[in-house]
Amino acid sequence: MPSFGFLDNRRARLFGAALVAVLLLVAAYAAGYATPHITAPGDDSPEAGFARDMTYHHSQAVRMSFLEYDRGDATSTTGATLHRMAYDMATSQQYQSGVMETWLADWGLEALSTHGTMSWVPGGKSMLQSDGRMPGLASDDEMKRLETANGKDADILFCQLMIRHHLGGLHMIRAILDLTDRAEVVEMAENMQRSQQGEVDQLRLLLKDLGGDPV
Amino acid sequence: MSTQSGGGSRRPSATKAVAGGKPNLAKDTDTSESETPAKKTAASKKATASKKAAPASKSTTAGKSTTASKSAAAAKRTTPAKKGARPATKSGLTGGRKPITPVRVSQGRNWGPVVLFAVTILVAVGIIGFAGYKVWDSGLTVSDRVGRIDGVSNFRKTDKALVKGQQHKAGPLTYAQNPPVAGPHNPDWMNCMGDVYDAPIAKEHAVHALEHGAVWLVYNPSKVDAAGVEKLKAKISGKEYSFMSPMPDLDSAVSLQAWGFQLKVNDVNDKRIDEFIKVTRKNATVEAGAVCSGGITETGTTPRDLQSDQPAGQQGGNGTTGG
Repeated sequence: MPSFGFLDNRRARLFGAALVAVLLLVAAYAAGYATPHITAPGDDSPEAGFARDMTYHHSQAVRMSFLEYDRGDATSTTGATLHRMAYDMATSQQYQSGVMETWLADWGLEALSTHGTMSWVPGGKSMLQSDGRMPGLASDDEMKRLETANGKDADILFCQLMIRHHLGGLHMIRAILDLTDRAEVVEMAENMQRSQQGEVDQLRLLLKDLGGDPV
Repeated sequence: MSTQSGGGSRRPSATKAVAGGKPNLAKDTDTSESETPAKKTAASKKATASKKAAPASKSTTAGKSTTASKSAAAAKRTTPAKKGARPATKSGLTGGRKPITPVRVSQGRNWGPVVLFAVTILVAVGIIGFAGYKVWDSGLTVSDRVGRIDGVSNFRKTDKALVKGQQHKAGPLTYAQNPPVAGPHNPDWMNCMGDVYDAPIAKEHAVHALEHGAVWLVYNPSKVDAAGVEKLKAKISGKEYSFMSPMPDLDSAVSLQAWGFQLKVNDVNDKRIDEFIKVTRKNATVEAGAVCSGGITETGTTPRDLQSDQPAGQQGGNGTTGG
């Protein structure tokens, strides 16, 4: 029965073609699925280091903001402005920390660093303060003082510490912008840069209003 | 009852009627008057008989034929002596009467699998195309999306300095647009957790809320009646990253603002209101993560910091705040 043989061949060819098509689709899907994992930043990448260190850096700013929100003089104009700024900083920096932790989870990396502080920046050790703190971080003593300050004293101390904190943060932000072109990291870093620079400018003026001096 | 896809359905009823399976060609062969059920039955029986005798290739051929003309041709070939059968059987076809010596010619393409294959490819292309569209669509910026809504003013395109952001200034500010859409603003933002303010509010606080990603719905109370205001309230009330307030000097009935975008409409039922809110609410932020809670909730068109009882000197110092 030659015609059945012919038919079978046609079917075999069609089946083969369908199989190839399905395999191509599977391969394309697998490639699409694997690409983000393959291209994800590694454990010692600048992106991962920035995400971890900046999350730590942010956590102190959030703490300082809550202290100011709690202890500042919200009845004065400047104090009321600081009160709301502190609310804004605490909420947005905590949000940014959440986003950065999500990056690390998406990249299949640990949230906490096992590498040295600032080791993601070439020569990053030189950016550290003398006792090994990240740039701009307040010392334990300074934090204790903020925890016990009240009213206008708290407002002044908050401005002083947060200006320095933000300047250190901006230092780290410039470092990551030099080291990465990963879209979500660049977008976030630029967003941080805009808001922290804006806040530094404003805090300086508020500090002047309060009659304080930068530290 | 059509036994083949495609052209099979175009065949006259007689053929369909006898076509219980592939070997309808053989049935045609022996049908003299195939329009009545009795004859059909007879034809079927004969068909069965002749099917047995027919070479396998013929059955296959008939089964594969899908176009009327080809089937007709095949039928003609197999019925040299049965002239009478033709008119009845082929009543709908031209040239059906002429008996022609059956000669096996090329049977042409088998269209069934081809059509199936084509349909499969079309469906696959459709799926891939749709997925591609969704990917493309999800990659669009707020600016792209808002541009699809008729009548929207996009200041992100036309005035990049205006939409820069992070410029905090105390005291009354003047804006080129009314209502304003971006620009320098008060350090304190207007609370925008779906707040419905029943009196005019300070633009300086409202613009800060826009920077945080809120949509600000403004209406002119002399151009929108109470029922209209209720309709607008339903779009805003309780919806985070939105707020609304009246503005007596508004030049349209309703105006919607997001950071850098504006849409003015004169009908509260205009569908673009919902489109604009859907596209811009939260998405229009230039400060991702900035909140709508914790803001100013007091109405009044003077920025709140000037209403404080602080000495004038302090006000002046604060007034120069700029970023």
